[in-house]
Amino acid sequence: MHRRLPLGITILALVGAAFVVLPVLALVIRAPWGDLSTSLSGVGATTALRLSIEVSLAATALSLFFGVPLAWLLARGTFPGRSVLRAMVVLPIVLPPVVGGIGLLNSLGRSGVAGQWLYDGLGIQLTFTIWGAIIAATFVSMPLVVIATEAGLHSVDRRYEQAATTLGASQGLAMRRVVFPMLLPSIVAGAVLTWARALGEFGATITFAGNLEGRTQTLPLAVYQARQTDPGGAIFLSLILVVISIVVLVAMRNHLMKAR
Amino acid sequence: MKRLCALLLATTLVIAACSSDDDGGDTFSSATEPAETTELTVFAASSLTAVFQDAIGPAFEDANPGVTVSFNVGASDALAAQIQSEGTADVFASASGTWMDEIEKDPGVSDRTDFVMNRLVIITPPDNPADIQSIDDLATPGVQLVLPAEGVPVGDYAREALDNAGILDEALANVVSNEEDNASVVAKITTGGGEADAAIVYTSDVSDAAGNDVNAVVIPEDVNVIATYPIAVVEGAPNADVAADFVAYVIASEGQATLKDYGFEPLA
Amino acid sequence: MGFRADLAVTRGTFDVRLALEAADGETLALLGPNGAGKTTVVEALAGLVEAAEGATIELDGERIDRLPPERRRVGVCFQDDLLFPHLSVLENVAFGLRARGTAKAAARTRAGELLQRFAPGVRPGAKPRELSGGERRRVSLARALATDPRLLLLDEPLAGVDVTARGQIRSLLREVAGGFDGVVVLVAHDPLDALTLADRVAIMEAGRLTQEGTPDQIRNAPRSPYAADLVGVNLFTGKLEPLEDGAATLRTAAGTITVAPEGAPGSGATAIATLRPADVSLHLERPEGSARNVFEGTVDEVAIEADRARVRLDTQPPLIAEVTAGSIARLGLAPGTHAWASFKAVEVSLHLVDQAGDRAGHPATESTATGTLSE
Repeated sequence: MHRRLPLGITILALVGAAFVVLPVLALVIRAPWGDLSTSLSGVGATTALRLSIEVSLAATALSLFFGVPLAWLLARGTFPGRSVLRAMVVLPIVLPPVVGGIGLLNSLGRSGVAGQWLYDGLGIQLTFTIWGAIIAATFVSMPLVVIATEAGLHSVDRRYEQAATTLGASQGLAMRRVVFPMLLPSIVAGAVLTWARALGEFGATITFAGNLEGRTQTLPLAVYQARQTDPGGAIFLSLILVVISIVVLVAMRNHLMKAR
Repeated sequence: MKRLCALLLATTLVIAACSSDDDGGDTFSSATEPAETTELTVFAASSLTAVFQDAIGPAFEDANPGVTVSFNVGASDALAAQIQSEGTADVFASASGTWMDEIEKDPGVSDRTDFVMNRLVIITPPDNPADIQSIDDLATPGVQLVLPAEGVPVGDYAREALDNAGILDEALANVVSNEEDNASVVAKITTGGGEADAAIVYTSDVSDAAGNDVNAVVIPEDVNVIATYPIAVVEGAPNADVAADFVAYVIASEGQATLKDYGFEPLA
Repeated sequence: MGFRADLAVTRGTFDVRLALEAADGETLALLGPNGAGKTTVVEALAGLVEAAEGATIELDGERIDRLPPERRRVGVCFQDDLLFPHLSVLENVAFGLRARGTAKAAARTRAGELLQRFAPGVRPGAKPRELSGGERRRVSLARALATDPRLLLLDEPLAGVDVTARGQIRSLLREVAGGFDGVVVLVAHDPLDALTLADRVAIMEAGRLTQEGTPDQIRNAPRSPYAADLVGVNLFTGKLEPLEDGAATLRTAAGTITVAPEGAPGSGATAIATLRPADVSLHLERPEGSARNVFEGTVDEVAIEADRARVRLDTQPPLIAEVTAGSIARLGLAPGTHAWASFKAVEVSLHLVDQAGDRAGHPATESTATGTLSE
């Protein structure tokens, strides 16, 4: 027998849903569908889309590559200052992205604390390049991988590792063949969130990487620029972002919500 | 379960951070004093933010007890759109005649006067890493140039000036970033040790009053684009009399002197 | 060869200190109430907890106590199986082989053989979560045995197995234990498993061993209330008071019984007495006759198994009587029934606790006739 939810809860839930759905719906309604093709080409939609996909995927890959080991260190390491490190790793989520961008400029910019070695010594400049956009996106979204992975590590019973060692596996083998595979759903969930965050990243990107069509102008930046010159185009660009996000998030819903 | 909560928490924070991010600096009211009799609403172009909010506004309030001035600053075109749809503006100070013309058509203006000029200037980091000495140096390949985006008035002016100097295509090839507002352009020159080699902004963006540390390179008179700012009382203003006073104040010598302090050029 | 262990492990406020040994081919059962520390012993033997300085574990004559688990030839069958959920049953069983360097194909073949032998009904490609409790236990056993351990640890092997499968698992365990040429250490808190599968039993309480011996030895001479509970014997501990006619009373905390000591114990001597439930008769009315011990009380519990029944009475002291199932019916005995129990003084086995206080060190006067009625 299905019990209906209490009326109060249903109403609140519907309001919540409307709150989230309405702005998106408004975009669809207000979009000047007649001018679709001219608008899209005018605002450089395909270029922005391509850049967005490249940047978000690269940022996700980097976040996983460095974030998973970092999560491991935080979950299993026993060094002093661990909780401080954890707090700092999570900080980019809480900071306004522009602040993150300024931090990146001062650290990795041409004259940045670390960046100057790259520039003066190797001639490498990260700002105003796609790598700048990738780094900015990674900075704000890597914490999501770390959080998800660390939570996953805590939820995998350590006794499975122990069982593996009684069977003859070294710690390393136990980690690789037992713990890591059991951790995979957490990592995947973290990767999806990371990708979503990287896709929508704006403040750190525009501050650190700048805004140039074809090189650093991802979809969010293109939307921001189009606001002034072609509001209709801005709406279309926004809808592209919305559609991509919905498609991926729906496709990955099982992974996102799998609580073990 | 623990993992689910962690994910939900992370998602919430993501959304919070994203939404704290996109800040076009559009509508922006200065703090008003507790209940006085008249509140004057002035719509002003972004480049006028500092001079109006920090100097002219307070000075006008001192000279006119009982009046508080609140400023709505933003891009001139966005302001124009707002004036037409909302109709709460008393005064409109625009960065270009175009948008004032729009308002003149609808809903109409009175006391329209050009009150100040702003010219473009090239700025570089203090140590001038690319050794920019004149506008022509902006055409040198490899120079990292930051411009305001097209559509932003000063962005269009900058491109006009470059065209006047005959180096538009070469300079555009050097552009590494198109910024949405002047502050971001200046930031690319001032943050860290200066990320880009050069940028073009208004003189008012880098005046002493603005307090930033940049090296300015003058653009010759013959290629430079002078922006002329008109100011007017909007037809249907709720406080038309006080609005007219404000316009008069701005045009008068005191207002002009203040504008000059902030890097603007008084009308000759 | 076999194994010897001298363990000292501290877990928070609780420590385990005991010595165990067993010969190759032997099955040693470690019995004890929950919280006694049995799992700690398993973990220490497997190398999963740190044994204290000075603790030693020898397997086949070699010290293994400083070795990490992966270097000990110890196989563990865990109480909750811990089958790797992301691997198939076959891969689980092959895991140990592959971890120790066997090539994939060879490992899988051997794993297949083991699965066929221990869990014939289970599909090798199945995932652990698709299996029943009994099937998982079989796979767990196969997995632990795949690496040819010298010491096999079975932690509560019948836990979580439902009643219908228990018999089969028990026979399987018997078969495995019987054919295993190393040492099997079996941990249980249900005595039936221990007493039927093991060659020797070690009883553990609160981190210490309280008794060790063959099942029969334990059964005949339990040394602690817990041990007595296990074997369902009436156990009394108290002080003797000689009577004029050569008999004596044993005063326990829960009541007094009359016993027939050998020799002439001094007054106030402490003694432990056991009485087989079969020696206790039940009556609906006060019986007459030579029995010196007659008690009146109410039936607390009746447990019938086949044609025998065990009845627990709340007499003072409490008593367990064993009668035929027929008698239960005939006398109409049920919980709440008022009844009389009697037994002869000479039927009580008396063990004097000498001055040094041996015999499991239970100087407190108490009696036990509670607990499991099934043997």
